[in-house]
Amino acid sequence: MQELAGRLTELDPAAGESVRVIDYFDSLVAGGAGIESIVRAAAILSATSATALVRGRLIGIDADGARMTPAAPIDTTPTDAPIVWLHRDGGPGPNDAMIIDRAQIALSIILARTDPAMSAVERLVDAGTSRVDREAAAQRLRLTGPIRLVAAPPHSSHPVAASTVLATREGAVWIGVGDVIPAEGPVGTSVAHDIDDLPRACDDARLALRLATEDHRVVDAAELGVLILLARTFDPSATPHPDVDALEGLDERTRAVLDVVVESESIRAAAVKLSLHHSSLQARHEGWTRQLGYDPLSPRGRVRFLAARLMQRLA
Amino acid sequence: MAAEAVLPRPPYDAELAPMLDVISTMLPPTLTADMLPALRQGTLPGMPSAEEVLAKARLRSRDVTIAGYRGGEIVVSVIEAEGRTGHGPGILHTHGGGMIMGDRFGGIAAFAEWLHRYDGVLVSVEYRLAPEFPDPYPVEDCYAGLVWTAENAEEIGLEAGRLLIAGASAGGGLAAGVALLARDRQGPPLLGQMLLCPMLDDRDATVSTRQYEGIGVWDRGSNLLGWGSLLGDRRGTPDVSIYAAPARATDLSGLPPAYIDCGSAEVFRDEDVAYASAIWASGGQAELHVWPGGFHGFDGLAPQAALSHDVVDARDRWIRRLLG
Repeated sequence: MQELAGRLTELDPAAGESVRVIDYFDSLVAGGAGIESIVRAAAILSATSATALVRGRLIGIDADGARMTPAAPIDTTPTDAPIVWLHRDGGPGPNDAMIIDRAQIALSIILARTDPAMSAVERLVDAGTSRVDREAAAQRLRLTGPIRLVAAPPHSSHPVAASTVLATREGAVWIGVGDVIPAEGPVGTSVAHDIDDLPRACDDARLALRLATEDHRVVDAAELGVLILLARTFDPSATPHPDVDALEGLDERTRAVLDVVVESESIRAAAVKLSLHHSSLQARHEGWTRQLGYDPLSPRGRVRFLAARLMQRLA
Repeated sequence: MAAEAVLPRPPYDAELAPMLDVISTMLPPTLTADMLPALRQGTLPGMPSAEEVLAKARLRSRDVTIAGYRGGEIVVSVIEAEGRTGHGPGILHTHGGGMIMGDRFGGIAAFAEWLHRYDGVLVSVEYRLAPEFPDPYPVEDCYAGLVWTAENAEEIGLEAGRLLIAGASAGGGLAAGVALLARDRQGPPLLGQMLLCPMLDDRDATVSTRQYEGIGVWDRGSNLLGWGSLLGDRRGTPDVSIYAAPARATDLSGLPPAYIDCGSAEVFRDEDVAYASAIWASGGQAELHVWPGGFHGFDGLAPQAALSHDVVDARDRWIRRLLG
C-alpha cells in the first residue's frame, strides 16, 4: 500500500471535488497546522512546487512535500496579506486558482490567531479557561453585561468587536463577539448572560449555525426555545431515531414541502405559500402520514416532525 | 453490541488528518473477508505497478523459484540497481499486507536509495498468504528465503555477514519471526532487523487496538481478520508460536539490533513499544520511534507529509550507522 496520495492530485473540479480542496485546508486549520503545512498542502494538491510569502519570509515546498529553496516570485507587490504562488510550466491546472485562494485564506487565519484580540476570544469561550483568565480576556475586549456570540463559516468577516477561528469536531468555525446579528447568513447566534455563560453560548451558537438552511440563513438559539436542549443532546455516533430515518427516506422536495406545511396554520395556507392548489396538497396528506409513521399535521405530529428535522440537520 | 464509550486517543497529525480523509474514501478502516479478492487485485486507484516503481527507482528485478515450506515452490525477486556488477550489503524483504494480501514488490521503493548508495541487493519473498496457507507457511516461506539468500550470496553479489532483514506491517512481524527462527536454528547471521510498524501480537489485548476501531488504516477489525486468517481458532490461545506472533516471546536475547517504528495513532503502537522494551529487558539493542499522530503505514500512503519525510530521515540515519 504505497503512494495512494497520488489520488490527492486528481481531485476533479467537474465532479464537485473542488469542495474537497476546501475541506482539506479547513482540516489543516482546525487541526492547528502551521504555515509550512499550508504551503505543503498547496504543493501536494496542485502536484507542483509552491512558494509563499508570509510576513516577509519566503517558504518553498516541492510537489513531494520536501522543503526547497523558495523560487523568488516575479511580481512581489508589498502587502501584509500572505501570498501563494504555484510554479507550473504551461497553463494553470484546473484547481490552481482555488488552491491558491484557499491556501491564502488558511494562512490568513493562522496569522490572525497570533493576534492578541483573537486569542482573547478563544480564551473567553473555552470552558477550560479559569474565571480569572476569562475576566482578563473580557476586560481586554471591554465586554460588559450580556454578550452576543456569532458562529459562521471559517472565512467570514462580519462586523464584530473581535473574532477568532475555532478548531472544532465539525471543522473550523468563525466565532465573533458583538452586539449585532449579521443579516447575511449562514450564521448561528446566542447571547451569554454573563462571562461565565460564554462557553455555553458559544456551543449553542455553533449548534444554531448547523441548523441554518437556505431559507433560514440566520438562526438565533433563543428562537429555538426549549428545542436547544434537544440540539445539545445530539450525538453523531448514536444510531439515528426512526423518526429521523423516516425523514431521510423522503426526497428533498417532499421535505421542503413538509417544512412549509408543518409551519402553516392549515393546508390551505401552506398551499398559498407554495403556489400549489390546496387539493393537491390535501391529497398527499395521507401519504405523508404513511411514510412518516405519524400525522405531521396533528399537534403532536408537528412537534415530532420539527424535532426529527432538527436532529437530521445536525447530522 | 453494547455501546462503548469512545476511548480518548492521540489526535492525528494536523497534516496527516486531511490526507487520511482522502485515503479513507478508497480504503475502508475495517477490511472484511469479502473484500479480499478485490484487495488482492491491487486495484486501488493511484497505485503504480511494480514495473513503474522499479523503473522510476532505476532498479532491475529477476525472479528465482525456490523451495518454500514443505518443499512447495515460491518465488523470490532479486532486486538491484540497473547495471550493477559489484558486491554489497543485502536486505531480505518480507512485504506487508496483514498476512492476507500484498506481494513482494509492495514497499520496495523505500529501499531504492540504499541499494544505489551501498551497491546493495534486495531479495523479496513471495511468501504464501493466509488463509489459504495458514501459519506456519508465511514465516517458514520467509525463512526459506533467508536461507536461500545466504546460500547464494556469491551469485547475487552479497557481502558475507552484511545481510539485514526488513519488513513493514505484517512484513515487520514476519521479519521479527524470521530473526527469532534464525537465532533458534543457528541459521544465517543477520546484521540487523528493520521492523516498520510491525504486526506482532495476535492477542487483541492492548489499549491501542481498542482505540483504533472503525477508524484509520488497518483498524482492530482488519487486524482480527489478519490474525484470524493466519491462526484460525488458535488466535489468542496458548497454542501460538513466538515465530507467528513475536510479541509472545519472553526471551529476546541474542537477536540482531532492531529498528522499530510506528505511529502513536495506530493499532500496533502498544505492541511495538512493548517489543522494543522486551528487547532491552533481554539485554538487546533496539531503536524505537513512535511518530506523533501517525496512522498505520502513513509514510507510504502519505509520503509528502512532513512527518513522513522525518520517518525516511530517521531510518536513513540508522542504516548509515549500520552499513557505514
